[in-house]
Amino acid sequence: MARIKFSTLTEQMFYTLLCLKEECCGMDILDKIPEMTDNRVNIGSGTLYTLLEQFCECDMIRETKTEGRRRSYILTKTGREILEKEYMRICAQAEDYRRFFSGDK
Amino acid sequence: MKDTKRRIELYSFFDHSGIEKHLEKMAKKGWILQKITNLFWVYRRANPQNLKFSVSYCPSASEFDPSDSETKNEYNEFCRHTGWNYAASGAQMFIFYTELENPTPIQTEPSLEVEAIHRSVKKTIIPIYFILMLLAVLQGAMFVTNLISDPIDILSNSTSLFTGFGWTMLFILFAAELSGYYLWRHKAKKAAQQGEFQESHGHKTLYCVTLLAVFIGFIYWIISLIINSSYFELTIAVIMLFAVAALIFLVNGVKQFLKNKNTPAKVNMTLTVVSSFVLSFLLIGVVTFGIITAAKNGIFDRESQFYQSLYLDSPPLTVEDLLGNEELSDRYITQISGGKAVLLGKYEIRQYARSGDSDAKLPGLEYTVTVVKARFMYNFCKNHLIKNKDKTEGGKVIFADHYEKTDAAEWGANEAYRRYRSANYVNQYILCYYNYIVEINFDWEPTASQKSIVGDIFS
Repeated sequence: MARIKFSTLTEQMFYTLLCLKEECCGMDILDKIPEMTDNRVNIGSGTLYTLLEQFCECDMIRETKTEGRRRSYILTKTGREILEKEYMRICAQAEDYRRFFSGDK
Repeated sequence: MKDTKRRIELYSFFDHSGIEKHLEKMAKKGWILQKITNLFWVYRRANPQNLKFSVSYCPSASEFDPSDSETKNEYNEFCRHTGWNYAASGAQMFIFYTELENPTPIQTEPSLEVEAIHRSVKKTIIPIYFILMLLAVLQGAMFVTNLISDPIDILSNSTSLFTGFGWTMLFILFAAELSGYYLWRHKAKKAAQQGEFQESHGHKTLYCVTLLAVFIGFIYWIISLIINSSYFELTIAVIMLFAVAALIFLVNGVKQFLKNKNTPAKVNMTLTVVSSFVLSFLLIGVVTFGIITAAKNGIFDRESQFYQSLYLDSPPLTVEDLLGNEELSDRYITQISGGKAVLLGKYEIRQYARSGDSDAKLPGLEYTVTVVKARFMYNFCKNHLIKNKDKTEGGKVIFADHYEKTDAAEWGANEAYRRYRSANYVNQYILCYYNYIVEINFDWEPTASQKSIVGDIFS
């Protein structure tokens, strides 16, 4: 189910999963994504809320603890595999680009 | 100067773009949304300012969530973190505003927004709209069937007309809302594939026109009830209106009380549904008991022996008139029923001897007066009344039942028809006057002078 639904990840999905390599809560992710992408990628609070719910439903992340209104999550094995697959896809794309334009340099 | 303002806002459930624009205009005028109740949106006064509003949908939220719900608080906290202040929420819809010039939008992924909206509205709004549309179709089908089988009855009854009209209007509204939503969803999914958001366009004008039409229909119905109905009918209608209002108020009160007590959403929903059933039965029971008790105590006996229309407080034609004996009036029971609406009126008058009257030979009289208020309906009504009811088999009449033209002059009418049933003429006539069509049934063969009495009264 997770594999079909998230067969390709958008940038926002990709960075959200990347942030969850380490346990963190939703608000940390809202800060971390612009930080790690030099403000190139921003994620909306509503979008992140929906994404976290869907990632949990698809067992790509799991809830670790709740402190007041803050729930923390971490990446699961399934999530890691999907992230890995996306990384490979991006690498393959980059490789195709390099090969295609190598003669121009 | 008032610091709060209540407005009825007629926005389609999916029209987030329309709501955002409207709230931004209101903020410019110095009114900021504070609360959404079942009927009104409540605004608080503030300095006129340029604010950005964002309407978003949280599928895991519920109309029955406690006031201090975890989902609501967490969602608000997320949005506050990116500079959005909570304004109000209703079920799965959350409304935020910000003073920031370039805030990170609450929704940054179009496909997720489309999905969040769909998951939210299919939880409550879509099933409710489908159920209401189905009810409207059933009511509409019943109305049309009755209209075909007995148009005069339906068109002369303001309650039937109002309910038929009301359900038709609501069907148009629900159908427009649902098709509008699915059209927007189709476009939004396409746009999302290109990474773009799709603006929504609701049916605000249609909403206003439909509800205004239903409201005018309602006022017409109430006025016609006051003018045309019997004391009994009017009392029942008023009691039922108050009962429905009380039911809505009480069920809503139960839901709100449980929300304030921080009852879990599922428990609240179950208790609210159960209470709505219990209260409905209780109210119907109390109303029925009240009416029966009142009827037993003679409260509805104001006008006559049975019940009577206020419009026709005495029958235009009586057996006493026809027999020329006024003293007979005490020996008869007279029933008048019926009413009138925009196009037509219909009154049924029955006179029969009181039970236990020593003279068993006292004849009865029954007649129906159709009052044609709109001239273009005249031929339609006449043709409906004189419609051939012959039973045929293989093109042959096996049981005759129809009206045949007879001498109209002796009835002082423009046209007159006599019923021919089986193999005989019966004493049943249809008499056409200028704006009345009288269907009259005698227990005896009327004499020429009796026919002229009828003519004098109706012509």
